[in-house]
Amino acid sequence: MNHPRDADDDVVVDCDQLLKVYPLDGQDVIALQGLRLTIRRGERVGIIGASGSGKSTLLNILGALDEPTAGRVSVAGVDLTNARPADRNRFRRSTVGFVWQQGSRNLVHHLSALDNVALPRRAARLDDPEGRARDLLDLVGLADRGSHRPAELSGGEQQRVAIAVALANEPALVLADEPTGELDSATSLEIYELLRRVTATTGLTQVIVSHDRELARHVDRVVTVREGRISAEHRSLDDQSGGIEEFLAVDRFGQLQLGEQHPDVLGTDGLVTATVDGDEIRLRRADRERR
Amino acid sequence: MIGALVRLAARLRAHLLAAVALVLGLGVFFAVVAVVPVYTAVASQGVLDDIAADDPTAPRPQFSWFWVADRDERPVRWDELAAVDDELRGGGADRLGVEVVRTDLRLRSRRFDVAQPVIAPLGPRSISAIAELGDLVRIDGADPGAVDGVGVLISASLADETGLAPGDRLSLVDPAAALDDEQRTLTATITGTWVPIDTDDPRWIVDPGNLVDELLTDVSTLIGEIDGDRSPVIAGAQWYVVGSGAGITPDRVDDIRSGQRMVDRRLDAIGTDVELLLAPDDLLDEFQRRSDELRAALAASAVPGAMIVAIFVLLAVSYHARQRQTELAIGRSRGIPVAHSLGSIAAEMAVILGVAALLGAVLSFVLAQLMVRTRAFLDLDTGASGAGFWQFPHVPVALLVACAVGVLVAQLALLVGPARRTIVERRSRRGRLGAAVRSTASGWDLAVVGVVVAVGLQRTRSDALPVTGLDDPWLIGLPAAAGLAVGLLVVRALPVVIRGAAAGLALLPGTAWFLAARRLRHAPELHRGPLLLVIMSTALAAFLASLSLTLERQLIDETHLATGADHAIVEILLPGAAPTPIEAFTEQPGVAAVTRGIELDGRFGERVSAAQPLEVIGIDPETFATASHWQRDFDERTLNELMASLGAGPEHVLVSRSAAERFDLGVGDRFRYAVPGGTDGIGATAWLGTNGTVAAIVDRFPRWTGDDKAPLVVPRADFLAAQLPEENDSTTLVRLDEPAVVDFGTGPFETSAQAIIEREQLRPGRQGVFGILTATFVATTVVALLALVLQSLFSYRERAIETGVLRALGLGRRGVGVFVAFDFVVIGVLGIAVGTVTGVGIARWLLGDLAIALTSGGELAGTARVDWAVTGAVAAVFLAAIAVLVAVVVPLLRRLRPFQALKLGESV
Repeated sequence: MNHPRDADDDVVVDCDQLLKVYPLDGQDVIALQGLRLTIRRGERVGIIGASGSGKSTLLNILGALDEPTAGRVSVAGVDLTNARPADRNRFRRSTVGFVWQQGSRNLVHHLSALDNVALPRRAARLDDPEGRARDLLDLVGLADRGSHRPAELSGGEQQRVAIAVALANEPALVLADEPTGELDSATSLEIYELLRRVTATTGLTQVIVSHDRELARHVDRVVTVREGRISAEHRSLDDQSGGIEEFLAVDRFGQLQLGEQHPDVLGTDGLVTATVDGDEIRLRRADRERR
Repeated sequence: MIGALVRLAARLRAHLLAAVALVLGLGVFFAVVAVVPVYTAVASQGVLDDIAADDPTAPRPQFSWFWVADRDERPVRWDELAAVDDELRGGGADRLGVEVVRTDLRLRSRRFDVAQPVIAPLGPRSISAIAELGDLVRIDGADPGAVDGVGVLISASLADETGLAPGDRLSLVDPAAALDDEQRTLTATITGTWVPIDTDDPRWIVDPGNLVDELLTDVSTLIGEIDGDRSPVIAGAQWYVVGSGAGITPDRVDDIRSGQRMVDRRLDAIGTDVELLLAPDDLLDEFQRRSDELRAALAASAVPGAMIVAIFVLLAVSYHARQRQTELAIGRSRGIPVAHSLGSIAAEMAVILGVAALLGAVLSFVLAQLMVRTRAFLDLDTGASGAGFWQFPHVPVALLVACAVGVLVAQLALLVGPARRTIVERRSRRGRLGAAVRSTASGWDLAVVGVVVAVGLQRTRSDALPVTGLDDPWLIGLPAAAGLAVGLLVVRALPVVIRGAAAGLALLPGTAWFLAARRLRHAPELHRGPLLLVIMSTALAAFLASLSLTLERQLIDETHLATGADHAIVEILLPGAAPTPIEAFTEQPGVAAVTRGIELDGRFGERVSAAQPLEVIGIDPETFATASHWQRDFDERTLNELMASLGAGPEHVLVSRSAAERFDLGVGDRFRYAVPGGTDGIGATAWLGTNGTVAAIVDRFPRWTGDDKAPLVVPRADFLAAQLPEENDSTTLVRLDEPAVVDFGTGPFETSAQAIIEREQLRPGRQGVFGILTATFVATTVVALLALVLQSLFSYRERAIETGVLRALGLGRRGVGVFVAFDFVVIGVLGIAVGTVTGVGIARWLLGDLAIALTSGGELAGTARVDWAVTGAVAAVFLAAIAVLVAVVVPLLRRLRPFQALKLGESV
């Protein structure tokens, strides 16, 4: 397992020029193309994007469930780019926790809630799996449901248990894929609040994937994935107004993607002129320029 | 319409795995159901051949007889009998006669003490005319019709035994009357004696030796003098014709059957060359009974296969329903009408069922062809054609349709209720639903156990049903049900039983063992179906193998018991001739030991009485044990111990338990018995009285097959020979080095146990029975193996999703392999062990009391034999199948990439 040369202790996720190509029905489908992303310790980052934009692929790669075709990815100081299967297993056991949308992907259905939570600690050979599992169930407000099996819990309760499972191995990073996708809005708020509280308590880093733009209200920043790249980033304003500020992402080659509303402004031929003025770059429609 | 078809295709594609599993499962189910008529036609051919051999309507030259009775089976009245007799005579049948039997009169002779009457089963037997007996018997004295009143002939043997002589008068009384009831006493005069001339003449309806106690008179005397003032209906009558047999046609038989009476009125057709035209009802009933038995045996053999397949289909349907319930609930929550969803699902099921039915038809066709063309599969050597299946296609077709409709209805019934709830509601109710299901199951599994135990006890303990035949659906159904019951109990007890093992497993290092332990402890429903299948199949296989072995051993034991050894040679000596030296046998190659004895029909007591016959088998105590056949269940003591008791004194005898009970004998008691010692001056048997001291009482003895025979006395042959005035007929018993058919050149007086066994083994009826057993055995094993494979298919998706979760938690491929393989190992080892123990236990339980008359030798309670070789082979086959499943499934799951496995979970 290689560590990045420019390892920064504060950086938990470091992706550079990530490329992922899937063979599908005899054709190659590009899921990620040159994606760059850096997430620092303790950050709560949301990833949004339309279906097929590549956000789940990114999550799979960050969780060592899948491998990039090219590029570099490092999580919590572990270079996953060319990691061996055994190293990936070890990484999943000790460094990362998952929360998925469906209960069947989070929990082993024949295990009780307590056993489910204890399982990652057992897998990671950490001490006192059951004691710690009880603490975590207490943390998510389900101390009295430890003996219940997943089928005996509601959807919201299942997701709470899933969060406890994700925290059980004391990971550096929690990856959540549509964690509220099957829940009503009130329960969704509870789950987001729980995730926020967990970060405040443990200080770990979270990456939450969703197609819901409201996600921005529950995380520190949101990055938008379009066609396999980070196209923009949204951050809450610091002025307590609840407003969100949008930033476009520029890669190391100077490429950027405009937001979905921008092409209308740019006209039909898609050509613009760029003018650098101090720390500003101005884009003008080429047809207006010609006029 | 096109849109609907497109949606249907999309639906089928989306659930391709489930659809394929259902098609395979239901296809096999349909094939098994449909193939029953096939092996009915094939496997039963041997039995049918056997039955056909006894078909009373089949033409064959023989001397025959039948009871005279009308269609209501009411015995004819005297006057009717007289009319028949006249008609027969009027028909000009010169070798035609009526025999009238009345066996319920008792003899009271003035020579017997009335206070202690000797009651003999005497009764007048008549023929049409005494003259007809001319070439059958020699009569000393006058014709019975020559005297006034009732004239009778008695046998010379009876005359010897009782001292009765022509001119003596007898008193015959109705058995319902007191011996001194003069009003119901008939006096008969003995006009002469008779002796059979040729006992082998086929016209003897019964062995003339069995007639020696009966009085003989003619019909006119019987009808005219013993008339029915006292009894208007005779006890029974039969008439017979003698002929060489030809010209019987089915049409003619049908004509006679359609008549009002069973008696053929067209007597003008009867001549010396005619044969019996009509069978008595009891033979027809027997024919019908055996046919019914065959059908019942076939139905019984289909029971276990149907049970196993039904369990599998239930698993398949419930699995399918589980998938659709979620889909329905989602549709409901999105406002899609339930009827619309159900219609869509019904269309999908119709396609699946259609394909499954097609597959079933193809499979059954292939099976039929295989069974017909490779009869060796069923170990049959008959002309089975299997054509019956195709002559009645409506049977399997109807079964297929009925099954398909049943499955469809069951599927929709499982869906309708849950469809009314949303997914959220359903989830919240899942716990209660599960509890309700468990509660219901806890009732019916115990009910099954109760029924099995009750029926089992009733079948084995009831005096009314001491014999269980292959036609009894419980014979095979009970072990299958017992397997199911034990399987259900195991499933019920699984969480409890496994708790300790699980706790132990959890202590092992590694997450895989922890998961395996928890899975065992908390998820018995995942193991329920496969466990039931394995337990039932192995139990049934063990039982059927043991049943076959028991029947085979029963034949061997029974034959050797009747033969007395591997070989028996009866030597009948002409006057003055010497027996063959025993060296002539001992020097034959392959002969291990030889013993020689004497067999006689004796009488018990000082006074020779017809009512107290004995079988006397004189043996040589020194050599008998070396040559004779002996089984542990013959007696508590060993043969050597018995021989030692016999050899302790010259008068020592062994007696059968029936002799001890009938004659009130105990060990050490001394008694008198008589054996025939040649003939007197007029050719009558001379009886020699001798002493016997009971040395031991035996339950069975070689050449004496049981209580249906006369009581047995076994003296020493040397002592017996010393009593007899001349060399007597002898029986030589031979033990061979190994079972073989050896010809000692003594022709018809030679009995080879091995030859009898081989002849019986080749008998079509027996082959048919074993064919049915083999087919049942193979079918249930194959179905169970297929079900296991399909169950693995069903659970693959579930396992794959689970694998994804576990891989996301960092479990390695090796851990996944251990976890999954452990599941199979538990199902295999536990199921096979419990199934084998169950099958063996049931075999010991049932087969110990089993007596099936597969052989002509009658019914002999069998000793349960467990076929460990086949039982072990079946266990090995199941273990191998499970090993193959592990070898296929585990690598597939190990190769599955974690995100692919997790992706599967998205659609659940």
